[in-house]
Amino acid sequence: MRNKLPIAIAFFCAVYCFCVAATSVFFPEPAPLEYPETWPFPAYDFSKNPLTKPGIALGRQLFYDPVLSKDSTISCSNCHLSYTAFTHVDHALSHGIHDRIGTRNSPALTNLAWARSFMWDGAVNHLDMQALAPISSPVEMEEKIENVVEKLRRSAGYRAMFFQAFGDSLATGERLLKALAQFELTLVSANSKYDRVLAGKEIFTDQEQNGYRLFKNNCARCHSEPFFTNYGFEKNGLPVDTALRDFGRMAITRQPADSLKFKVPTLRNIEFSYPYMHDGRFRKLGEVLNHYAHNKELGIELTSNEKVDLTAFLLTLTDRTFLFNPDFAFPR
Amino acid sequence: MPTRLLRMLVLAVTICLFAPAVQSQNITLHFQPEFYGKNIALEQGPAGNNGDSLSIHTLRFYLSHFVFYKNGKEVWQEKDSYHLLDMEDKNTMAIVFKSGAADDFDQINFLIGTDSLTNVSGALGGDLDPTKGMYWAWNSGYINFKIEGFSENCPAPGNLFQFHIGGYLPPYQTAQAVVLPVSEKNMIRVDVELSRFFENIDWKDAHNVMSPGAEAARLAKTLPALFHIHAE
Ligand code: HEC
Ligand code: HEC
Repeated sequence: MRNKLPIAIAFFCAVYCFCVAATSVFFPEPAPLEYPETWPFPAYDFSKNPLTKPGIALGRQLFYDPVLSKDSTISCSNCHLSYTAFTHVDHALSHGIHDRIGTRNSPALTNLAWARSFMWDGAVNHLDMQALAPISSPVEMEEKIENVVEKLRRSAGYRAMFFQAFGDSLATGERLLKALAQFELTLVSANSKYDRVLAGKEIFTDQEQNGYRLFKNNCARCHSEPFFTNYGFEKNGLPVDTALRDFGRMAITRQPADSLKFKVPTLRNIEFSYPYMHDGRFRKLGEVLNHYAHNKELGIELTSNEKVDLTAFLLTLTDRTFLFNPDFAFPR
Repeated sequence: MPTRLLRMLVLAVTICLFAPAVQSQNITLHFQPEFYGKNIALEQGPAGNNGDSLSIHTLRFYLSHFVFYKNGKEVWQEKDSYHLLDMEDKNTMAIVFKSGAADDFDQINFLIGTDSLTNVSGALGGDLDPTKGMYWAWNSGYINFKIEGFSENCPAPGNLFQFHIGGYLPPYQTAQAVVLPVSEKNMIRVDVELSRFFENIDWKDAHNVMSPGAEAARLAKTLPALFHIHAE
């Protein structure tokens, strides 16, 4: 009998270890980001916030939930509508809570995993932290993140979703922000005609092909492929709006050289993301091209035929599978 | 030899269970805000240097990256070393390092504030959670040191001042290194002499610092001088 005791102890130890491991190890179903093989690696560090099915689902729920605003009237989707590449269509300056008007046009939310800074002036240095800005802004959602977290803790539905996503039902600022980021990271647009042409599945018309050539010569140094932005800050020659007096990047760096520099916006889905520019001053693509057509500052000169061809190319950046992706729309 | 094996097993388990308790005591760093050597509490007016009235409504700051030294050699550093101290919550004003941290040391180094990597790492938890009111939503980054209150010399409405000191980008970095030579080993009292902060304030120029920049960087440089070991 004596010599069986150590075996029994060892056996119990093993069972105990297994039980501890089984309860503490938490495996939500992973959902790694999908994107074309030819694209560079994302800038976002997924090791700190790995994409998972329940994480993305929680982020999507939050994105569409007005609980994030003070009087529960405004959700992120009020200003970022999926069918228009997540911009505030028809509003030059986004309007938020109590119909207050902000000072900037809401940008398209696409391919955010590759961006290194956020907002027109780069005020936000990480996608996770971006949501703090609209939540706290008096012209957007006018709420405190502390209160949002409190509200979420009181909701049984959210407690269940936080548990599935993070293995703990307790909502925290960190988890709220990471979940929102997970959903936003999935907003990848990579299936426009342009992408299919590059993949050899379709061909450009002559007009589009000429537009592509003009684009590469005149625009691509800022609106660089494949994201159609270099994610940097540039001056494109727009005069300052004397009422808004928005000098862009300089507000953050306090360097005079950054005056009137704005983050280069993507041109993917540009057909749908009007109005254009940081203050939404142009309603039509034609007005944008007129701004660039005789632009001495940038050394760009375009004839009216060239403008037509360039426009034809820009329209090949429309990605209908992105715009109408049911995974991005209002959850159920 | 199963009995021998069994005995060894029992011995090993016992050691594992009791070993941590046998080692040295906890090390507690206790931070005490004061004004000209006198302890102060929130909302209570300590006399300013000219007998003018001044009171603190909020004092919150990050201390991070604690490293212990002996004879100039590093003996221990805390992992994930970030602490938010808040005068409103007494418990946060003492930092406890669990026993086994360091047996023998004569110097403690730390940062006032958060390092630049922390400022660009996205959403973090614990004391760094953005719900703690120490994060700038419209110009990403942590507020490293926040002091708010009333001074009769402050020309702002209600005589209220607000200094939110932060910023991690050159040339306006605000995290500051502190070096404290220590003789005590278990209960170490550190005074935070706030009068030294106000000696650097010219109320006419500055009573409201709310973003990174030259003024925040200038004030940050004055912070290490606030911290010193309590002299009996
Ligand atoms: C009232 C309208 C409004 C609401 C509500 C709103 N946004 Fe925005 N969003 C904007 C505007 C305007 C900007 C540009 C701000 C700037 O540049 O200063 C922006 C910028 C962004 C950006 C940066 C994109 C880039 O490429 O730089 C992201 C990401 C974003 N919003 C996500 C969100 C999320 C998530 C929510 C909900 C928590 C939200 N927004 C709520 C109007 C809004
Ligand atoms: C020097 C860099 C630069 C060059 C070259 C450039 N752009 Fe831009 N572009 C920008 C910047 C910066 C903005 C945002 C400016 C703002 O909002 O104030 C912008 C905005 C736009 C917008 C509006 C996007 C939106 O969502 O609001 C369009 C469309 C556009 N550019 C197209 C073009 C075309 C077409 C060309 C070539 C003829 C071109 N750009 C050349 C930097 C550049």
